[in-house]
Amino acid sequence: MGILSYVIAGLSLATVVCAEPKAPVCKEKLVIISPHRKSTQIEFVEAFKEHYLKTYTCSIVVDWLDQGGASDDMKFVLSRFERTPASCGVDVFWGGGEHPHYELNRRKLSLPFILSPELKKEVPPVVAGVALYNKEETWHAAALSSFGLFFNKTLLKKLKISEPEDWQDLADPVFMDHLSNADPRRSSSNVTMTMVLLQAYGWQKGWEILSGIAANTRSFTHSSSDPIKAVVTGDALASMSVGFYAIAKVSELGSDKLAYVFPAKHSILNPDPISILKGAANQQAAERFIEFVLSASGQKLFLLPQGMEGGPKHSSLARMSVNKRAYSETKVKNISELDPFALQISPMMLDVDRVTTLQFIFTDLLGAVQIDSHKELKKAWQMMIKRGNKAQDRALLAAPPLSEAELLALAEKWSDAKLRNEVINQWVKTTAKKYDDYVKNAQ
Amino acid sequence: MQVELRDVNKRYGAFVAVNKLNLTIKEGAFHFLLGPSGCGKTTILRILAGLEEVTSGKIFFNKSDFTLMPAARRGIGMVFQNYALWPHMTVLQNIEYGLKVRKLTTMEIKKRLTEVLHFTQLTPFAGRYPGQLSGGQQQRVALARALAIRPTILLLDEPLSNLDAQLRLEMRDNITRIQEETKITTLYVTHDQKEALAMGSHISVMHGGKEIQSGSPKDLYLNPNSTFLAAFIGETNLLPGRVSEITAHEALVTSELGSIRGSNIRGRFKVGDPVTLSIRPESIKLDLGRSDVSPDNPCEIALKRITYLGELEQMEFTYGAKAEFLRINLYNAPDHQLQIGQKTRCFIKPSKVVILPPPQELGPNT
Amino acid sequence: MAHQKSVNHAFWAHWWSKFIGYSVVAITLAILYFFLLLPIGVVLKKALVNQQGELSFAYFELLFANNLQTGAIYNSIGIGVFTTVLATFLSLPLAIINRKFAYRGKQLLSALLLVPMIMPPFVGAIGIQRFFARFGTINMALLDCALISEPIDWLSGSFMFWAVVVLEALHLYPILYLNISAALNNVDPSLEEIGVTLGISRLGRFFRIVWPLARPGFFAGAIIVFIWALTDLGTPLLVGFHDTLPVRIFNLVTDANENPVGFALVFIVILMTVSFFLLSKLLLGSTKKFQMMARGHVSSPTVPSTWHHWWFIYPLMLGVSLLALIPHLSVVITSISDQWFMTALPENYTLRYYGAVFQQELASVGIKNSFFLASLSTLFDLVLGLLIAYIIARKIVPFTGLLDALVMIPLALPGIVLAFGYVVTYSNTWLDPLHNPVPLLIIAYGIRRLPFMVRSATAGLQQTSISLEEAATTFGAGSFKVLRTVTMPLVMANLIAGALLCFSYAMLDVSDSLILAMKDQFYPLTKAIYVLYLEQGSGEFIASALGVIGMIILSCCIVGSSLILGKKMGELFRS
Repeated sequence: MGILSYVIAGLSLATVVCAEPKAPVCKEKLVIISPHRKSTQIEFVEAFKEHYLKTYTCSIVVDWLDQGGASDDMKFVLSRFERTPASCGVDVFWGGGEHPHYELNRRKLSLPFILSPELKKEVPPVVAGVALYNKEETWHAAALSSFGLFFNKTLLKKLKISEPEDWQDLADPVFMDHLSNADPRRSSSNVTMTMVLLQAYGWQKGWEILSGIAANTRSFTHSSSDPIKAVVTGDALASMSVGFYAIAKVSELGSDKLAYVFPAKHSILNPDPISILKGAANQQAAERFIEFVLSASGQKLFLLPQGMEGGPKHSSLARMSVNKRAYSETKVKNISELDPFALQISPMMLDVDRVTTLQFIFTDLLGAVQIDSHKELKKAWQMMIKRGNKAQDRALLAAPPLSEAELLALAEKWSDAKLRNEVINQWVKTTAKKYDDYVKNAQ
Repeated sequence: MQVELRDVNKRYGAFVAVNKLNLTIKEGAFHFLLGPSGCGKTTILRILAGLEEVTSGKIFFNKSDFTLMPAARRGIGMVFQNYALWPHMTVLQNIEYGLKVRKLTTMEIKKRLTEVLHFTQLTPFAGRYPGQLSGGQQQRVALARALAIRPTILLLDEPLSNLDAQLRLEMRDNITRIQEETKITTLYVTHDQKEALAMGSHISVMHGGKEIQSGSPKDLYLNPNSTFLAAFIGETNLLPGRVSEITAHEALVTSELGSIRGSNIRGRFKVGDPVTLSIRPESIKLDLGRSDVSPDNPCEIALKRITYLGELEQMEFTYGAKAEFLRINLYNAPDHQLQIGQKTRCFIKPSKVVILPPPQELGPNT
Repeated sequence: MAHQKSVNHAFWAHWWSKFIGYSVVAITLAILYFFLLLPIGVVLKKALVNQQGELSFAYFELLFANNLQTGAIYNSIGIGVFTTVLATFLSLPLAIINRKFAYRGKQLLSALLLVPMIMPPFVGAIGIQRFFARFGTINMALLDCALISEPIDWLSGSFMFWAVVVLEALHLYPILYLNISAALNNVDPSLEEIGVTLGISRLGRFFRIVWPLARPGFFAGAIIVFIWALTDLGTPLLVGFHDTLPVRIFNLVTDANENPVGFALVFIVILMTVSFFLLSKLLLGSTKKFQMMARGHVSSPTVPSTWHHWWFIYPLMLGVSLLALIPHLSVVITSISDQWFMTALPENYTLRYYGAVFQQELASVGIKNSFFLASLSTLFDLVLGLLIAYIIARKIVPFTGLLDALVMIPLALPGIVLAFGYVVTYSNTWLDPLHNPVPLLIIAYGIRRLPFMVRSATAGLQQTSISLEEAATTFGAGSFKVLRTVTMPLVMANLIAGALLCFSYAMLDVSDSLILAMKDQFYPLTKAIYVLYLEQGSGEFIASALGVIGMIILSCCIVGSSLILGKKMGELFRS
């Protein structure tokens, strides 16, 4: 039976292959894996093919692979490298936030590609506090995103709550049960946001705000797009959000109903990089692809609205660009949320090394003390508010089970799965007990 | 087709279903396999059909070794106890099945169908589904289905056990008639000794996975070789005793009923051997003062109970100090004035007394 | 000479038939090994091997030391139990009514009952959110009518567990309904008639005659519903109830920093599934002695219904299907909504998203691919499932109980584990999904739905006397002919029920589709929905529209197959 189905499948593939158009003179190939949206894929692949034919008089076939999400794609690549360390059969990993690319670099699975000096003039190493590529140039930011607050204006008015302006406003007790946030263990952008917050307000104040936000959160959602939906449907008032998600909703339903705020002083812009993978069979094509994506004409696909000359043909992508020239050439017309090259207040500079070291352990820590103990945290926090929101109580409840130094020390051993789980179990236990004890003592 | 089983054994784990069986079924015979449930007779049928494999031993069809022949190629017609009619096929389709499998021509199939439907009087029911038929009709379909393929051997597994008494008698005649007309070698399995006696030309009696005796119905009835057989076929009185005297053709056995002379010696007994006497209830004559009864083996008995069954009176008598009864059947009962409790005498012809070894434990089937 | 020839002939025929028989068994077991045990073994060994590469049970200890994981285990068992009970209450009366009564529109209503089992993934969540959010349709409607002053928080706290149970039951009752219907129709009506002649009361007849005979069928469905509810990831996520085993597992194994405790949890789920299955078989499933001779192909007595039956027939039939179709309705409304923001229903309606669907090549390719893949995987299931069921029901190999439990594992496995197992096992082989995922997709779809077919077919075989097959053998039919001409027609109702489930759920498969179909020319419907769903702007509306189209197509398949198969399908829907 298996054989039969394979024969049939083979036939079907044959028809698929035959259906592809006849190649001109030369034909090259590029294999990209990317959790980027379909719209991004269509715009860039079409434009790149055209560009390739024009520039290199060669047609190129782009195989675009996706397994549904950044972590799935990453797992796929890693598992293939595990089997055949020389190459994974894929040339380019694009998108999915900075974490996969940091990780690829850490594992030495990405190849350096030095941008030409001309391109470097348009794409500087750093803009608005964000590094657009690392020293070795194993990854380059292909787009930027911002982190901010997304909220339902209609509902705020209805409940007579003033609009939040900065992260700490979300920790205000008026938002009790009115926030929706993604579980940081499920959403890497959420991890970054919390780390930004911690860096912006300092360890102690940062934890107090984080705890306040967690206490106000209805439930931590499974996917990073769910909080957006919750705000739109009125299940929640506000959420921490990636900029372009939120802005798409605002433009769809109207800025009188929804709003997105970028608290520049306490937030960052975030790179969405692209990397060439070790053992890329089509390294040259991969390098040409990166050049194209970072070039002004490539970046305009992100910036311009659909249908405009040089812009996307099918749908607007509305992302922030990394190319200075792309902004200067599209001034009024571009629909990017912000121009990072012309920001009034310069955003924070995220400590990338610290983020890379801490991301896994910090995620687990947040998960243990705020999400796995969410019920207990909520009760304790409500009790604390009832008792006057005293600073010392707040400090007690918000304090993580270990200091920043201890966390950094432990981070080095975090790849030990046994130790990791033992510590997590310990955190969950002691923290839940701390919250419970507080409620008990208060009564 | 002549069928022979040679040293056939069949074990299921520790359980011995068939124990070193040797059996020959003659060409064209209507052979019965009779025995109580669990005696292995159905297993033998299934072995012959190829539905079970032998543990050891061989099977020959017309002297060629068929032991390993797959069921589908044996050319056997089988009627299952539950008929196993395919409920999703009509009567016609059921019967047609075996013919189609054999890839006969349409003409031939049609011819045989007409023939067999007519033969089994099923023509009016050809288009019905088994669920719409009565038990007797279903049984005929099963038979027709088996006959249509003109089997070399016909195997019948208790084909009448699911029918009511009236229908059973009717179908007995039917089957006997069909067998006589077709002359197909037929093996008929039943636990009903009356059925076997009434229909069979040759009966093999099975017990504990073994054939314990075979022969014509009359032979089995008159000359059983064991107390089991004597009791299994027909009614009998079994009396334990001990041989007290041996002459050329007769033995004298002392029993509770008295000293009984028996002429029918199966096996050799010595003086002093424990034996069991088997005396059929109809072989015992009451002393009603009639001259045509020879006064052999006179015994003292007392009447305990009478059951009147029309042509037959069943009587139970007490004798000796035993609590057991002696059963006597009087056919076409002559007038008598015997009262309950009354003492009387009876006579038994020595030729009607079968002397058997005492019932031995046939042992569990291990 | 003639004798010698015949002896040789018998010898070869004997060994040939043995060879064929053993080969089929061996191939069947090999398929299970290569496409079930091996791939999951490759992934799950991470639970048993520590980072030093030694065998270790440390992750299991850690698992049980964490109250959250044990709490999730209890929650999941609870969901399984209550869902099965609720689904039984929903489906049993429906199945009985359909067996007993003839009424107007029966064919259509019976088919409608099956529609709730087809829920397109991802978009269902939008619908549920829209309806049950604090300012969603239901609360807004209640607020507008001034029935409540404060919105009810449907999807929070203590409501969530029961929300999951209710949604699961409404989603899964068709499985039970199909199985009970098939089983009831397999009960020989004459047996019930005997009950009538013996003067047993109607209720008594049902519980003492019909029910014991139909029980294998019920059991076949109930165990699927139980395990499904126990291991379902979609519905708890839809409601946002994360304290269940499948969600925990999903989180742990898809964590960017993968946690091996997740794989230990998968072991626990498999162990639970297998032991629940064996236990319930022990308690409920002693079915061997219940084989029936003549079976329900005899027309069962249907009572023409009169008006005083209608008051319970129509409300029940329609009520259950409509209740179960609420989530579907919400998807339909989403797909035609224009500007839906904080009102009970959209302010405007539009069909433009349907237009957008048809402009997307993705949509038509997805539908075509899904049809192709689901059809072949259903065929795969039919053949493999029937063979396995046959091996199990007729006890062809030793330890059939184990085999039986083994084929239940795909039901318990988190989809990603198997899909990822395939990726790891078959990278750089001729089955590499990177190049052509079609063979692996068909096999993955097939293996994951195999339990439906095996359960369904086993129940049918257990209700069918083996002597019907033996009879065909003695008449000269070879094993495959017997299977084709006797066995299969006899269990046709069960096979159709199983195939319907296999096909529908293969069309709706998520994990394998996402992970194995990596290039867009191979995207099945579900991945197309997913990709559209993620698009900004109108993405979720177009995805909903495509979801609705998928639902319509599948509903047409169900209703259509009932028309095409006519009488055979009628055995399911017939009274």
